[in-house]
Amino acid sequence: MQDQLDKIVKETQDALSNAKDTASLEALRVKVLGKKGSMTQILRGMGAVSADQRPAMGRLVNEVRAKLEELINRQAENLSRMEKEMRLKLEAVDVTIPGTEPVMGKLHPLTQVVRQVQDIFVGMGFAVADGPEVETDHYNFELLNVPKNHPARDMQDSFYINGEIVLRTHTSPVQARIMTTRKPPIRIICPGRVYRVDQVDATHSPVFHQIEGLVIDKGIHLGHLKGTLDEFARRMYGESVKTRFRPSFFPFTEPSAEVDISCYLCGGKDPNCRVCHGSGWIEVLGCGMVNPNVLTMCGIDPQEYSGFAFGMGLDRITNGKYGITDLRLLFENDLRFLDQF
Amino acid sequence: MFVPMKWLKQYVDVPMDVEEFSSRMIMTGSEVEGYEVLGKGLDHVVVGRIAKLEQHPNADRLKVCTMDVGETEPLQIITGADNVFEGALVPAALVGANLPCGLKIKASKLRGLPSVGMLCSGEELCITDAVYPGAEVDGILILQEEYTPGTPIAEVLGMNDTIVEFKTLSNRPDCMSMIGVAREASATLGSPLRMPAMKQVAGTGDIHDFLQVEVRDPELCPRYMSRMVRNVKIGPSPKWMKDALTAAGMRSINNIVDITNYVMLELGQPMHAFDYRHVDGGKIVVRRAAPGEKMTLLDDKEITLTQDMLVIAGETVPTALAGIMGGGNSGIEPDTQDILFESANFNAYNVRITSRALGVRTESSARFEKRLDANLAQMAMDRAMTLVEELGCGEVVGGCIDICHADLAPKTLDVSTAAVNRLLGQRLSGETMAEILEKLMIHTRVEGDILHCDIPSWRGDLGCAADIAEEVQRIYGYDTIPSELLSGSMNQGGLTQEQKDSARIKDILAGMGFYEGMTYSFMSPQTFGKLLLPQDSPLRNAVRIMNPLGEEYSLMRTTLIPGLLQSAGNNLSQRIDTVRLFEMGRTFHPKQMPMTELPQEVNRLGMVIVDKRADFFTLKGMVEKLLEAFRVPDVHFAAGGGSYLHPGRKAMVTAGGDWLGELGELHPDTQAAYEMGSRVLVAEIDVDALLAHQGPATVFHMLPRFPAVHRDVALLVDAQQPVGPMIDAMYKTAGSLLTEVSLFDVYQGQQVPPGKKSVAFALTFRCDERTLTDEDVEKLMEKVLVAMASDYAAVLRS
Repeated sequence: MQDQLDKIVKETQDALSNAKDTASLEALRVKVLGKKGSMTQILRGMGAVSADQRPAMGRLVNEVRAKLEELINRQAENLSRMEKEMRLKLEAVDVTIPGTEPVMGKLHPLTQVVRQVQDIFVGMGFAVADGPEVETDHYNFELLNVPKNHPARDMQDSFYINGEIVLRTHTSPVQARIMTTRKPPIRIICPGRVYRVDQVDATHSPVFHQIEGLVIDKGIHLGHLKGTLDEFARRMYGESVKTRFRPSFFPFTEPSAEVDISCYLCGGKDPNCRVCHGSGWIEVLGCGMVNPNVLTMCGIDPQEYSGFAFGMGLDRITNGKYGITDLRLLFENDLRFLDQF
Repeated sequence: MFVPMKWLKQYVDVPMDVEEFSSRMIMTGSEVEGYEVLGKGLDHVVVGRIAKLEQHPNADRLKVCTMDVGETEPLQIITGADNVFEGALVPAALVGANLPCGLKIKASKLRGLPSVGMLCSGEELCITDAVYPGAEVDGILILQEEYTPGTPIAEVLGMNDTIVEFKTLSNRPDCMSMIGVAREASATLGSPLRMPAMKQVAGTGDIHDFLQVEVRDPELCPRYMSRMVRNVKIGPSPKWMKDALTAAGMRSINNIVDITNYVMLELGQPMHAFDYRHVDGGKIVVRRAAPGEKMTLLDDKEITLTQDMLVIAGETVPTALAGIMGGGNSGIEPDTQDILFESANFNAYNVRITSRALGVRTESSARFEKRLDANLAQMAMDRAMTLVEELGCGEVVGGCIDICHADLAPKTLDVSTAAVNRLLGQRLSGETMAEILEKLMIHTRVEGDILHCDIPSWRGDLGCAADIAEEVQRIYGYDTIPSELLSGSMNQGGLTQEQKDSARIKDILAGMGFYEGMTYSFMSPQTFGKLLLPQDSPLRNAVRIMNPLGEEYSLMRTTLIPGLLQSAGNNLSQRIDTVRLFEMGRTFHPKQMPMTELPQEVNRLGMVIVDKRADFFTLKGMVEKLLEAFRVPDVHFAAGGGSYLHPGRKAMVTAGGDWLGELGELHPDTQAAYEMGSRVLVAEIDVDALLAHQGPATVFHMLPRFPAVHRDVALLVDAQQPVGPMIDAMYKTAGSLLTEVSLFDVYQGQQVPPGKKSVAFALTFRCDERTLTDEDVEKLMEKVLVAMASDYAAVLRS
């Protein structure tokens, strides 16, 4: 019987090394350990063993059986691991094939810039206000210190609906609307569409966008204007940006200033810079202390309150930010353009 | 305005280069557009005298010149030109010169003899006869006047100058002159100002013996001054005056006209000179034109006048369009003998509208329309007479006719230093302020807290403390403004819910695959036809622009659809075949015609889809999902909508009975009108209405604990029967245990009788309290089928 067992072990070991897949291994398991398997046959033959030898023999047979089971199981694990590896290898994909594109659109670059600007001012405690695009001459001009025959009307060639109604030429009438309806303190910005008589070309558009800001409170001075806009410039263009305030003229502010920022692209080092054209400065906005005449006309006492206002062209800021060289692209809605932002 | 630095330096010292000068001027409020350095490439080109001229021993066509170029040793230069002669003064380019024509001058040998330079033609210096007479002859430029050898040629040509271009701010007409810019430079640099000579020339005789002036409309002509010069000698102006005018961008005409232009550029006061022969009746009448009256301008343009236009006329015939341009009949000619100089002040607004109406803009109108100082007329007249004498171009007649209705009284302004400091956020003393103001020629006396300011007549822009504050700050330096953050509590900041919701709509649309577009707010009247709008369509009721850029842009849009179709079409023509675009913007709807109040402005959302895989239901699903995002209750879709939509594939969407918008497939005719080849889907939603119908805030529902029971049912109904009401009826009949009905098939064809369709629904039942039994569900199904049979004649398909 011992010989028989040795033979079975030997045969099984040989067969194991030949079992190259789980199927042939399974066949081997049946052949050895199955109901009609060789080990089962041995166990069945235990009856023929003498009673005194039976316990020792039985132990031996069980040991061998356990050993064979283990050998087969180990081989089964090996095989299944190898087969899994093979399968995974076959399942490999070419990861350089482009991904399947989900359907997703994008927001207009101007909207993205408006949101960025808006976020900055909202963070400084500003609310966002709104006003009509078709506006009365009264709000668009008169209340802003630009009476009918004032030379400053030359600066704005307006679209007229009739003698009293215009397409607003700037977002400033919202200032006047806010001042005539709300009590200070006032801290608002107003993004919106504005209109001027300009033929369409790479740098002009009859329709464009501005954002207006207005602060009215007790004790507001030119320093607050500068502080607010310095802060805006830093958050919009980065900590290292410098601002330059130059005296200027707007009928509705006095003193007035134009604000330039140091060129974020070349820092003034590139004479052919597409953003600053080598000057090192980019004109970004106009601003000033609200003209006392404007305050008075809007029902705010200039002895008690003062304030500042600013306005900037969003299209230009957008173009500068992304390096867009033709204003018309903003309104053509070419998907090859819109998809870039 | 072009300011030649040489001219400017007559009035003020500028001890720095032009770059620094520009930036300092910018920082005190002048707008510098740029500058141009003249005479580029003329370095190392000097006046040379041909001391000796000899034939080249080895070449017939070359000459050897011994040149005196102002140095101790003469130079030898070889030339091939024929027009040179001994003693001639010529431009000599020395070694190192880099000529404007591109030639670089090096020492060389010509046929064995050394040549250390080149004699230049006008062409090689890139100049024309206008710059120097004789510049265009074939050969070396022979200088006419006497110059010291060695003089830089740029000086001879008047090109040793830099021209700075200033932009005049609309409140500073005084800066449209050399003196005005000089005053700003003086204040900016702290250099004293030197005024030009302005003598009160007495003259002989009396102008009143020759001329009568009548100003019929003092409002349009607050001041009119006239002086006479007899026996004039018309001829060219001296070189210094010609050079100055040319450098400033004007053409030299003759001594008299040049004087008027020179004074205008110098002081900012436009002047005019009339030939006395053409002043009919010895009379000047300043009057409004008669309606329809005609005149010919100096540039031979014939214009028709209206009574809003002011003319300078003789007894009958207009001789000038006041403040804008002289008439063709009044010009100075070579045989002119006696002339009248006009120095006047005209109403700014009137000059502007006249100039606009006629499309005639001149240096003169550009100044008058910015409102000039009436005192300036006197200064200019004095200056002009001084120049007439200086140039010796005629005999000044005594007396001056001066009809003045303008207020010439000096103005003063009292301002508190505290008010100035409060506005500026500064702590400047009254003395510091006064010192700054004095630099600007605003004579200021400090008395305690008060500044008593004498406002110069040319500073009509100064009228209140804020104006004085700006003057102080701009000279003190805008870079000294303290940077201070706003303080104080502001609890009203942030976006409103509506603003946040509008932003969210855009985000949702982008998430659905739409790109955001922007189109002009204008609309063409042709759009109405393209959209097949009936005559009474409210969309035809549009705000009309009086002065549009063109018919195409003459209306304010009443719908976003045309702009989006245009954009989608543009993309298609670029061979982009799938387009999803949306725009959020305003439409404009007049409340009455003609408009007496502002139109209603509505925030709209427009959507357009061009996609082979999309149909009506693709778009409808998106609109439904959008409304769902805002929890809009009681939403209904019903067949109907705009004329531009396919009559069988369009729907209006309402909430609680209110119109929210419409959607559908584009009408084939509209699609053709926009030249689009593929099927187009569009929707337009009233954003204001949508947000107004927003549902209440979400309340959490417990997740289901009991299983759902599903039943599918197929019903045969009339082919025309809409499915929507059937679904509504199922929910209504079965009650709250029916949690979902979904349509999964609609079939028409061989398997069903003609005129019928089969509609298949999946119904889901669920109870929150217990597990539903088959019996429960059967009862409910029975109720549903009975209702379907009775209300919709629906037959259960076996």
